[in-house]
Amino acid sequence: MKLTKYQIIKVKVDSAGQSVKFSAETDKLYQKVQGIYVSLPKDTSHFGSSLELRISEQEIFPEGFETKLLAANQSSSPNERFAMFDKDEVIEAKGSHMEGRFVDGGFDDGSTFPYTMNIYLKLKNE
Amino acid sequence: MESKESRRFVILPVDVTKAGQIIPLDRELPAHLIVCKGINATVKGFLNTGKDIQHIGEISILFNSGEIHPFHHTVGYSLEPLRKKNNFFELKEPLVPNYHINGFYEDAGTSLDVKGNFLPYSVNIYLDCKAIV
Repeated sequence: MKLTKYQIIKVKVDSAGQSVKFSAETDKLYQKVQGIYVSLPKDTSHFGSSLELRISEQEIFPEGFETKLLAANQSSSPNERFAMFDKDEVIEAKGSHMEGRFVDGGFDDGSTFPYTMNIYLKLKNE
Repeated sequence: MESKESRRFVILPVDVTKAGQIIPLDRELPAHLIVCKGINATVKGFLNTGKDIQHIGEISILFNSGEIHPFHHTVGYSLEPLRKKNNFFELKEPLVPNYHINGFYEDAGTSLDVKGNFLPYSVNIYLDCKAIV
């Protein structure tokens, strides 16, 4: 049995300030979600951008949760960029339904639209 | 149905409209929250200050209707939205159901554009809590 998988969820954002709903399923071959990392094309795209997320109807991040708290700058090593859940905090993967809403911060930094927001889930078997 | 502990974030938004403003905080937290494990505060969005601001304001937070005062700290602003780490200020404060979170945010008057005009802004105060669900 494989121990770790990084699952990527891609969300297309068409315009500045857009609110995009999305849904997906976590990989059913993995037991838990251990961490999350949100990637946007530019660091400045995180200004005012937010991610609301629920997994198995459990609130993970509430409305208005800023994506800059779910990312890190380029001086971090890749594994340090993940916001990790506590060891005693079980967020089941196992094919859980996840739904969310991303809101672009509307910051005009010359970003070209559309762009793709990537959510990386670190999944784990124990 | 069996209850279990789960993480819940609470966001307290603060809108600053004038220099030196003091904004009281007073809110009843949801009764299913049992512990506050951490706190963080960030300026929301972009401010055209032209430079980083070490001290844009300060926050004072009291839990359980004023019984505990676990946090009083400054808030800064950076033109770079991402940090190397997003660590919350660690706490381990039990929360009493139906009690209030109190405190204040005090603006330092340093949110200025290059011409010295005050720039209104918003701060999000994040509480990282444990809840019984």
